Amino acid sequence: MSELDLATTTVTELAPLIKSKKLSIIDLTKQFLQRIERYNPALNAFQTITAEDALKQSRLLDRELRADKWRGPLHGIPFSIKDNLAIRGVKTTAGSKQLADWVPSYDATVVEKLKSAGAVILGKTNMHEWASGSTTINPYYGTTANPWDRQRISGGSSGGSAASVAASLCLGSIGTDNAGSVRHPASLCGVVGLKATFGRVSRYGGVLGTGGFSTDHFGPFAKTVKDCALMLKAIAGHDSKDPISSREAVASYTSAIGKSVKGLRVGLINGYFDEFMSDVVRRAFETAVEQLKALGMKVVKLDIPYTDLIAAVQLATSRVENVATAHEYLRNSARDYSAPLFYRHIKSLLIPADVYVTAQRVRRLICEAFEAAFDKVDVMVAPTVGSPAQTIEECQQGFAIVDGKRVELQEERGTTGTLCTIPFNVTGLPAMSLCCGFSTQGLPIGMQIVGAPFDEARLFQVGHAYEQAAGWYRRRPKLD
Amino acid sequence: MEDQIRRLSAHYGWNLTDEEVRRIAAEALVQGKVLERLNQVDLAQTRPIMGVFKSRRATADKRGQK
Repeated sequence: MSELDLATTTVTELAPLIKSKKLSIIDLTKQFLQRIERYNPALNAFQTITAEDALKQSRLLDRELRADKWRGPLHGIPFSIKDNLAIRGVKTTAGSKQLADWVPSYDATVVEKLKSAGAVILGKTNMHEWASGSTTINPYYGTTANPWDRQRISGGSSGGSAASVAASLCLGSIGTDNAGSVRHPASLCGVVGLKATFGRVSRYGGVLGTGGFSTDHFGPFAKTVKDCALMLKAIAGHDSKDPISSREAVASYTSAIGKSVKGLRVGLINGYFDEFMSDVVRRAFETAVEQLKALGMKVVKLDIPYTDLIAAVQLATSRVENVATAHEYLRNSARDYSAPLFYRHIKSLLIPADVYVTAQRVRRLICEAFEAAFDKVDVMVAPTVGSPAQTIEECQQGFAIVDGKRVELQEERGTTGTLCTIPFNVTGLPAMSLCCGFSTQGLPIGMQIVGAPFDEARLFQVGHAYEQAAGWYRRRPKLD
Repeated sequence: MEDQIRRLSAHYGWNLTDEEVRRIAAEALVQGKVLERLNQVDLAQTRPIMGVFKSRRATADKRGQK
């Protein structure tokens, strides 16, 4: 298989080749490891490369195939894992100085499930420090560059995961999403990123302090919607190690893929997202909505109350829940946090308990309002991020010029880049980002498709129909 | 606010400088203004969400009957 093929191939394409033994897993793994060796120094997507383990696992999986044991469509497929998810025997830093040398003795459930499905894990990916930001400019492990333009950020906090998939250093990755940390980098890197319904994917084995107890989700990155569906099928389901995980039956996520979307109702939320969209994102998003209409979907405008309070609820909830796990570090190694994160934790300690409870009361109103809206629509769509990827320099200076105006990248409500994604962390609704166009500078733009609780199959149905009609997924970054 | 931060600093042994205390206090005031908006909602009949997941299952079951 040539280099060009590796750059464009998908899980869906490779699975039958592996199953029919036309492709050896050990050869495939070696080629991806060579690709990592070639491109990772410039991208810094991988923080730890587990080549030896990957080769050992590949040989085992090849032996199984020779004995006619095929585990399923992920058998022999190369993946990466965000560095706040435990892999037994592999350093897991969470992008932090405090955990620089921590080696877990257990696997996170998502890792265990991927391994059981036959995945070959190539390594751990770089991330924003403690998953607490959206640039993946990490003071300890370096910056992950965007494969579409290395002067720009990959997004975050799962920036390394998104970049590793966009650059075809692997075919899928698992990240975590407390405020948009899967969908934001997926949008900036032009790949598919999914945060399923709250409770759909076990969070056992995630590093505490990298997300709020009630706002954080784990989810897959992939090049296509179908690959994403295959990954969700492998990692979803109840887990006795995570009491918050759902007992809802896991659906057949690929069965709806390819079905017509004609007659389905797509909701557009009035107001909330307008403020955040740059001109280029607005044009791409509006064009995408026209394409959904051309596929036969009916557009329904939605007025959802209380959206102006989403940022306050997210702030009070996720920051309080997060800092509640940080006392040991605040007591023993507080100065090992970067200064902005240390100060943020102190501010979180100043949020009174009654404000946290009030936030959960307002959150109920928001959740009920969104769920009521799903009586009128089958899915909603929204932009993922208001602007394409900023330059690393803009992020370091703290502002960017967008449409001739100065935009602060950190504002009083939180990180500007995640204001479009947090509604679905507050509500726990499933949301998937996929590419809906490119800027004139060749930077990807993302659109979220949002579903009713546990209706991920609908997201895949609509996402796949749009993806095939629009064709953006065929465009890949030039790395040389 | 600055007193609160100094107490936390003493409790945790951070040795925050005066400049750090002033900076964090200023940022905390801005944060407080964002959170104040939560009090503008009439919540007399509203209980907090305590089990996010359970309410979602009920809704999903209902939708599954369509």
